[in-house]
Amino acid sequence: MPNEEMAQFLGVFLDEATEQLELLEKDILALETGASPDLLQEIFRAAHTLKGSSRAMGYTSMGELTHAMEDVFDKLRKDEIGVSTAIIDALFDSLDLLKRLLEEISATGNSTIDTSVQTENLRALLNGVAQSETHDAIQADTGRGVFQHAPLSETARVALQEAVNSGLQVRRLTVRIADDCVMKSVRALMVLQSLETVGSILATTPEEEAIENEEFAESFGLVLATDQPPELLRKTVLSTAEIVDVIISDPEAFPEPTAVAVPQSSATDAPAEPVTIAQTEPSPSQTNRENPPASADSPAPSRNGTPQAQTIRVDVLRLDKLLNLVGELVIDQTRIGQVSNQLIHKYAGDELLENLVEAASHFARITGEMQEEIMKARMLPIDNVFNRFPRMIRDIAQKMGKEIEFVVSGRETELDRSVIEVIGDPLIHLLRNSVDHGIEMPEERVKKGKERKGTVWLRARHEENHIVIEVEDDGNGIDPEKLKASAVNKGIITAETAARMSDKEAVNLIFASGFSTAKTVSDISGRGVGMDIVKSNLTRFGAIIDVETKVGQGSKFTIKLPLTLAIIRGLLVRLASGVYVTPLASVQETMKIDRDQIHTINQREMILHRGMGLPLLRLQKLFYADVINDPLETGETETDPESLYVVVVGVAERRVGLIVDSLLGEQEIVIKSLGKFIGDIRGISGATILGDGHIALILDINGLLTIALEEKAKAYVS
Amino acid sequence: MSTAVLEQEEQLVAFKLGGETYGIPISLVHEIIRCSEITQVPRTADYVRGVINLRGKVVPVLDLRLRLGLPPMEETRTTRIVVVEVENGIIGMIVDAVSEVLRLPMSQIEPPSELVASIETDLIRGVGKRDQDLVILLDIYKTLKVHLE
Repeated sequence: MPNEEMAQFLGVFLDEATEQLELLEKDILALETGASPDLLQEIFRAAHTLKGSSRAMGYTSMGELTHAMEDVFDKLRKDEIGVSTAIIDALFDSLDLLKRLLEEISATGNSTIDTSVQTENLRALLNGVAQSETHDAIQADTGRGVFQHAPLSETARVALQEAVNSGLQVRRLTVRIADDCVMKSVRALMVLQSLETVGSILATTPEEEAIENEEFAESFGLVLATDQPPELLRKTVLSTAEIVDVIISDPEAFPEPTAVAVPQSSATDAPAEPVTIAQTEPSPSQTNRENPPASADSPAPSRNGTPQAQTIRVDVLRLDKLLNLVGELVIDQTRIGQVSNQLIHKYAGDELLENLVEAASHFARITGEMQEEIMKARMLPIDNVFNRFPRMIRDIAQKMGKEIEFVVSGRETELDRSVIEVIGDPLIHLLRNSVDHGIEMPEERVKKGKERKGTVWLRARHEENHIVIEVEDDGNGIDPEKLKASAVNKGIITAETAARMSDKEAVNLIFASGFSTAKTVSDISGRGVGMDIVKSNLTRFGAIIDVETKVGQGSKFTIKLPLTLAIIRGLLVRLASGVYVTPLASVQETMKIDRDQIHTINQREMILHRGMGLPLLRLQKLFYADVINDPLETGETETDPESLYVVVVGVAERRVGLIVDSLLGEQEIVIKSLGKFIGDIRGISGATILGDGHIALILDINGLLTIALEEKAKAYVS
Repeated sequence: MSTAVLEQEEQLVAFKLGGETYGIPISLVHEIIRCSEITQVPRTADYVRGVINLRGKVVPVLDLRLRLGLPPMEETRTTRIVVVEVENGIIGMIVDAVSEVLRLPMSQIEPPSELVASIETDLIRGVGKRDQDLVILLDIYKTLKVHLE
C-alpha cells in the first residue's frame, strides 16, 4: 500500500481498533461474571475484526496476538474450554499490551513492541486445556482428491438461506492448488478475494483462519452465493496462478437443508432448486415481502440487517471552532436586541424599526437554536469515561484481595465534551478511594455482619441544568472523630477548632490540603494526589463536590457538574470598578439589608440570616483593598448607604454574602479566559463580553468562599 | 547604495515612551488601536491595566511605561495600544505614541549599553542607530513574560 494511502487509513484504523479494544475490555469483564453465547459471539467478532484490520495494516505482531486471542474466544465459544481466572488474566494482559501497541502506533506509526510473550501465553493456555484439539476438517483432507467439505455452521446456514431467498445461487467450490506451490495460503486467499468480487462467501473448509495459516493440503473448499454462471466462476478462480483445478458442484449436495432456522416454509426447499432459480424470475411462492429478490448490483445481502446510524466523524477542533463562532454570534445577537429595543423606545411606532425588532427577535431565536444544536453535537455519553472503570476496580480489588461488585448506572447520560475531558481523573481518584479506604476486607465484612462482597456504585443522571455523578460504597464510612484527631495531629486545625466542629464540617476535612487518612501510602490511592486536589480540580470548572457518610455503613460522594463549561447563566452585579457576573448555579438568593443589620464579630462583618451567622464580603474592598485608603478595620459603615444589596452565594454548606452596589439582572454568558498573561486570579474565573460590548469579569465563587471562610480577616489585609 | 540594499535589515514599528524611541519587530504587531475602554482586573500586577474587547476577543492590556519602570502618565490624544501576538496570546501594550515604521540595517544595531539606563537593561535586545537618533529595541518576549505570583 502506498504511504499516503496508509496514512489515510491509519486514522480510521486507530479509531476502530480503539473501539474494538473498549468493547473487548467490557466484554471480557462481563465474561468473568458469566458467559453467554451472545457475549462470546460478540467477543469473538471483536477479536476477529481487530486481527483482520491489524494484519491489513501490516502490524504483524499485533495480528499474531489478536489471532491468539481470537483462538481462545473461539474455543470458549465452542465450549471446548471454560472460563478461568488464568484465561481472563491472560486476556487482560494481552489487552493492555494491545493498548500500548496502539499508543505506539498512534505516536510513531510503527509497532515495535514485542507481543510474543503474551501470544505464547495464550497459546500455552489453549494447548494446556485442549491438547487433543485438532482440525477435523483438515484431517479429512489427507487423501488426494477425496475432499470432504466440513458441515455448514449454523450462521453459514442462515446466511445461505437468506441468499437463496433473495434469488441467488449457492454453489460449492473445491479448489485445488498446485503441489509445488510455495505459498498456498496466499493463493487461496487470492482466490477467496477474487470470488468476493462476484459473490459472497458463506463458508470455507477449513475455516478462513486455517487457510491463512496454510492448514490444508492441496485443496480447500468454499460455499459461494452468487448470481454469476459457473463458467465465470471457473474463470475467476483459474485466473489466479498455480490453481490447478476447481470443481463447482450443485447445491443439492448440501446435507440437512431443512434444519435452517428461517421461518418461511416456502424457502426450506429452495436449496434443492439448482441453477434455475436465479436465471428465471423467482416464483411468488419463493418471494416474500421481507426479502425481495436481490437486484444485480447487490449480489450479497448484508448478513446483519440492522440499519446503521447515519454518522460521520468530525474533528473536535472543528466543533470547538463552531461553538466559539456561535458564542460570538450570541454576543452580537444580544447587542442587536438591545440596540433595537432602545431604538423602538426612542422612536415608537416607526414601521422600519418594527421590522428591525422583528428580525432581531427571529435572529435571537435562530441563534439560540443553533447554539443548542452545536452544544448537542459536542455531547458524548458519559460512558466514554465510565467504560474504563470496571476494569480498574477489578484490578484494584484483586490486588488488595477485596471482593467488590461494581454497579454502574446512567452510562447514557450525555454531557459536553469539555466536561468529559476533565471529569475522568477526579472520578478515578474517588473510585480508588472507595475501594481502597471504603470497602473492607471480606473477612472483616463478614465479622460485621455485612455481605462478603462490597458494593461500589457509580451513577450519573441529569438534574435540571446539571449532571450529577455519585460514587457510593457500602464500606466503612468516614469517622469524623478520627479525621479530627488526624487533622489536629497534622497541624491543619487546632484542638480547639476540632472540638467546635460539627460532624459534617469534620468530614469535609478530607478535602483540606495535606490530608490523607490512610496510615500507609498504598499503591492504590495516596499517590500524592489527595482529595484536596480532586476538589480543587472539580471546583475549577464549576463543579461542586459533597460527601455524606455514616460510620460503618458507607460513604457517598456527590459531584454536581455544569452541562457545559462554555456557556453559563449568570447574575450581573455592579461594583464601583465595573460589572461582574455571579454564576447563577451558586447564587442562593439576593436580598436588601439595612446597614444596621451588619454586626462586626472578630473584625468580620456578619449578618444574622435565617437564624445563622452569614459572613459578608465587600467585593470592591476585597479586590482593591490596596487602592482604597481606608484603614483596614472592617466596615465603612459610615459611608454606607441606608441599605445594601447582598448576593448570597454558596457551595454545599458554605455560604457567604457578597455586598454589591446594585443588581443588573440575569443573562446567558459565554465564558472567555483572561489568558495566560494575566493568569489565575483568586476570586475571578474569567471574563465575558456583554451585549453592549463591555467586558464583565466572572466571579469564582469557590475562590471567594475560600477567601471568606478560611483566610478570614486576613483576606482584608492582602 | 547598492551594498545597503543587499544588507540584512530589520523592519520595526517605532513608538514613543517618555521621550525615547522604542522599536519592536513589525512581524509581531497584530494591529495598533486607539485607547478604548479598559476593564480593570483586580489582584493583578500594577502594570496590568485590564482587558479590552477586541472584536469579541478578551485581550489583556499592559501599561508599558509601568512595565519598564517609567513614571505613569495620563492618557493623551496620541496614546495608542500596540497589539502584539506572542506565545502567551494576543496582548495590548499602551504607549505614548506610535511614530513610524522604519527599516534598520543590522550593522546599525548594537548590544544594549549603559547609554540607555532609564529602563531595565535586561528587557532590551539592542540599540539601533539612525542618523542622530537611537532606537531602543525591546525584547518583547521578556517584556511580556508571564509573572507567576
